[in-house]
Amino acid sequence: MSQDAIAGPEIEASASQVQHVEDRQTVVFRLSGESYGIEIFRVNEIIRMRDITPIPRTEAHIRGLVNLRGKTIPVVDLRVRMGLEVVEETDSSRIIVVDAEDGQVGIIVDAVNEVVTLEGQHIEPTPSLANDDQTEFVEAVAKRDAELVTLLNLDSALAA
Amino acid sequence: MSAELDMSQYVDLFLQEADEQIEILEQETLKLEEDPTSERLQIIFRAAHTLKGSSRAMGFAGMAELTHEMENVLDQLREGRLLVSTEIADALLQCQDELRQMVVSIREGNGDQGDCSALVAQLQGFVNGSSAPLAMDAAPAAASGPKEESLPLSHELVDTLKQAAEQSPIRQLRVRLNAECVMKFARAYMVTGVLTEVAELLATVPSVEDLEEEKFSLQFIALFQGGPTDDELLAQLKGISEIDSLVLSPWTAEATPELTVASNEAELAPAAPAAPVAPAAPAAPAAKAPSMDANKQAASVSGQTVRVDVTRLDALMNLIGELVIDRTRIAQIGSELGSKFSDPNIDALEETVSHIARITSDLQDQIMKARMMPIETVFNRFPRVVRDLAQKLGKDVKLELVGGETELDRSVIEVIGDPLLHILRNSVDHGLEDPDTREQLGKPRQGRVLVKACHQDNHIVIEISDDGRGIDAERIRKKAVEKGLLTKDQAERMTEREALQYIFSSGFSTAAEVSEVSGRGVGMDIVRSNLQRLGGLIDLETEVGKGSRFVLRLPLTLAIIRGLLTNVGEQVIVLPLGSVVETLLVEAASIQSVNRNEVIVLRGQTLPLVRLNEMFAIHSREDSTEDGQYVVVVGLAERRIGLAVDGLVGEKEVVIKSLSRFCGEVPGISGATILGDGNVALIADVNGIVLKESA
Repeated sequence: MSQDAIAGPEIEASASQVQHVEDRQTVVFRLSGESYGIEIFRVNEIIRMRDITPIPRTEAHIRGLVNLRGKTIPVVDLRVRMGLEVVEETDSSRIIVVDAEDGQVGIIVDAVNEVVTLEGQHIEPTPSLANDDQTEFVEAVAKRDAELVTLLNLDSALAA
Repeated sequence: MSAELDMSQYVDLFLQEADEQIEILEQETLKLEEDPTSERLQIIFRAAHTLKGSSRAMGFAGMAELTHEMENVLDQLREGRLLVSTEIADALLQCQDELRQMVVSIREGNGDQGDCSALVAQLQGFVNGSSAPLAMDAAPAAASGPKEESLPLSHELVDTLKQAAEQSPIRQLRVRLNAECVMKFARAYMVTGVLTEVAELLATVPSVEDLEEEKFSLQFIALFQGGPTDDELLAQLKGISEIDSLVLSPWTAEATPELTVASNEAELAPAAPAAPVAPAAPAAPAAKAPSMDANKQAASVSGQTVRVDVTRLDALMNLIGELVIDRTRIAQIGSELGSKFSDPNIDALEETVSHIARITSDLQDQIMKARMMPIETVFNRFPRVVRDLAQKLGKDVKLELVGGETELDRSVIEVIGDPLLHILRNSVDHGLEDPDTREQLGKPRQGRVLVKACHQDNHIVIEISDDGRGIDAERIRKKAVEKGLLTKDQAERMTEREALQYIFSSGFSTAAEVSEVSGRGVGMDIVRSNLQRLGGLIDLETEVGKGSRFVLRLPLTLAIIRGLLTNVGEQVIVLPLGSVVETLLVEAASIQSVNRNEVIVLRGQTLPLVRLNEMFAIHSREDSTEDGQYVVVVGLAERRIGLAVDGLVGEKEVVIKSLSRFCGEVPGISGATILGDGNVALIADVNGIVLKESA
C-alpha cells in the first residue's frame, strides 16, 4: 500500500515526460488561410452565416448577435482577437456554435474542413518561443499529413 | 435499490403537494379567526388530512403525527365541539411553520426532522379540554326549559318576507344559546353558516351585523327558504354546542311557532341524516340541487389544471419564434416563385402562409397567457406577515387585499413580492399608530392597510395605503439636512413632493427608533431601484394624520414589452413604449446647443437631446436628417429627454432576450429581441439613458 502511494507520483511524472497525449476528435476549420481545430465535444453545431446585429460599445472581436432558433447568441471574430487578417465572408463562411462558460457563443470561421481524429503522438504542446498575440489562445499544435493544425484553447480564446 | 429510486421520484411530487397544502392551511387558518365558517374548517381539515395521508405513505412519521393531531383539533372545531380562538389559530400556524421546516429538511434530504412534541401536546390539550365542557353541555340544557323572548320583526322585513313567501315557503329557526356561552357571535355564525350552506338564508333577527357584534341577548331568529327537512336540519344544527334550544317552524306573517324541539330532543333525532329526503318538503331538493351542481362544476374546473415548468413555456416561446422566422422565409420563397412562374399552387401557398401567420400569432398570445398568474400568489404571503407583525408591535391591523385576481407575468410576480412586503411592513410599523394613540386621535382602534391591484393600459398598478399618521414632509426636510443630503437652503426651497422623494434615498429613515422590523434606513432606496430596474415607477402620496399611499406601476411582463421600433442607421432599435411620452418631427434648426449639449425646447420645457446614432456609434444614413429630425421623447418619473433617431418603424410586441453574459454590461442596451423577419434588434435601456443624461 505505502509503496504504491510513493510510487504513484513517480509514475505520473514519467508519463508526462513521455508526453503521452490522447487521440482527439477535432473539428478542423480555416481562419485567414490557416488550419485550426476545436475539440468536437465543445462544438454544438455549425450554422451558415446569417445577419449579425452589432452591439455598440462592446469589444471589437464581439461581432454582434445572431438568431439561433429563437435564441440570441453572441458571435465573435477570433481573427480580430488573434490579430489575423480579416477575410471577406464567402459562401463557405460558417459560424461554429460552442459551449462557453457564459453560455453558447458563435465563432466565425472562413470554412469548416472536416472532423478528424488527431493522433496523440502527433500532438505537441505550443512551442513557447513563438511570442505573438496567438500563443495565449493556443493549446497545442498537431501535425496532420503535411499540414499543421493549431488546436485552440477555447476558454482563453473566449475569455473576456 | 429500485424501490429507493422510486421513492425519490415521489419525493418531488410529495414536496410539491406539501407546499401546496401548507399554503392552503395557512391561508385558510388566517381567515378562520375572522370568518370561522364550516366550509373553511372543512377545507383546512381536508388539507391536513391530505398531508397526513401522503406523509404517512412516504414514511415521514413526524409529519404524519403532527398532521394527525392537527386533524383531531380541526375535527373538533368542525363538529363545533371546540371554538376557534386566537390560541388555537396560533397553534395551527405554528404547526404550519413546523411543517414548512420539515418540508425544507426533507427537500435537503434529511427527512422530516424537527421536534414537535410540544406542539403535539398543545394540540392534544385542546382536544381533551374540549370534551369535558361538551359532556356538561347537555345536562343543564335539558334542565332549563326554553324560554322565549319576543323578537319583533320590522315592517319592511315582514313585507319582503311576504313577497318571498309567495315563491316558496319560509321557515323560521328560533335559536336560544346557553347562558354560559362565551362567544355568542361564533355560535350564531355557525348556525347561519349551516343555513347558508344548505338553504337560502333570507334574514336574521337581530340582523347579521348585530349578531356579529353580539348585539343580542341569547336568542335570535333565522328566516330561510328551501333546504332539507326539519329533522335533517336539526340533526345538522345540533352538532353546534352551547345551544339550549332550536325551534323550527314554518313562517307566516302572523308567525306562530308550531314545532318546538329542545336541544335534548334534537339530540334524539336520527343521528344519520342520510335518510331519503322526505316528500313533505318538495322545495328542498329543488333548491339544493343547483348549488350542488355548482360545487361539482367548480371542483371539476379546478381539477383541469396542469403544472408546467416555466422553462418549458420558455422553450415553447422560442420554438414559436423559430416558426415565425420560417414562416417569413416560406412567404419570401413563395413570392420569389410567384415572380418566376404562374401556378395556382403558388397562390394557394400564399394563402396557407397567411393562415400560418395567424396561427402563430395566436399561439404566441396563448403562451403569453399561460405565463400569466394572478397576483394573489404574492398577496397570499401578506396576511401572515401582517398578523405576526401586528401581534409583535401590539397593533390592531385590518389588512384588505383587493384585486388579487389581477394577472401578470410570472417573471414580474417573482420579483415584486419583496418590494411590496417591504412597503407593507413600513406601513404597519411606521405608518399605523398603536391602538391607544389612534383612539386619542379619534380614529378607530383598528388600523387599516389596503393593498389593491388593477390593470391600467399595459401596466399593473399596485397601491398600498394605510390610515396611519402619514409622512411629515417637514421631518423629512430636517432629516435630510441632518444627514447632509441637503443644505438648509435647498430644503426650504423644496416642494413637499420633492421632499418626499428623499424617503427613497439610501440611509434615510425617519423612524424615531430603529425597530427590529424596519427603520434601518435600508430598504426604500432598494425598493425603488429594484422597481426601476423592472421598468416600474413608485410614487408616494401622504397627508399628515390621515395616512400614506404608495403607488407602484409595473409592466405586466418582463418577458414581452410593447416597443416602439426605430431606425438608427441600418439598425432597428427598440424603445420600450412604457417609457415613450411622445414622438416628434422637429426642424433641424430648432435644435439648440447649450454648453455644447444639444437641447430641444418643447412647450416651454428644455429637454436634453441624445442622438442614438452617436451614443451607439452607428453610421446614420446621409439623407435621414433632411426633412427634419425624428425625436422620441422618453421619460422616467418626471424626467424627460429627447432621443434623436433616423426613423420610426412602428409599434410591436417584442419578446425580451437578455444579452449573453458573454457581452458583459453594455451601457444603453437592456436586451435584444428577434423581429418578425428573424433579425435580431437591440432594446435600448431607456431608463438608464434618462437617468444618466438628465442627472
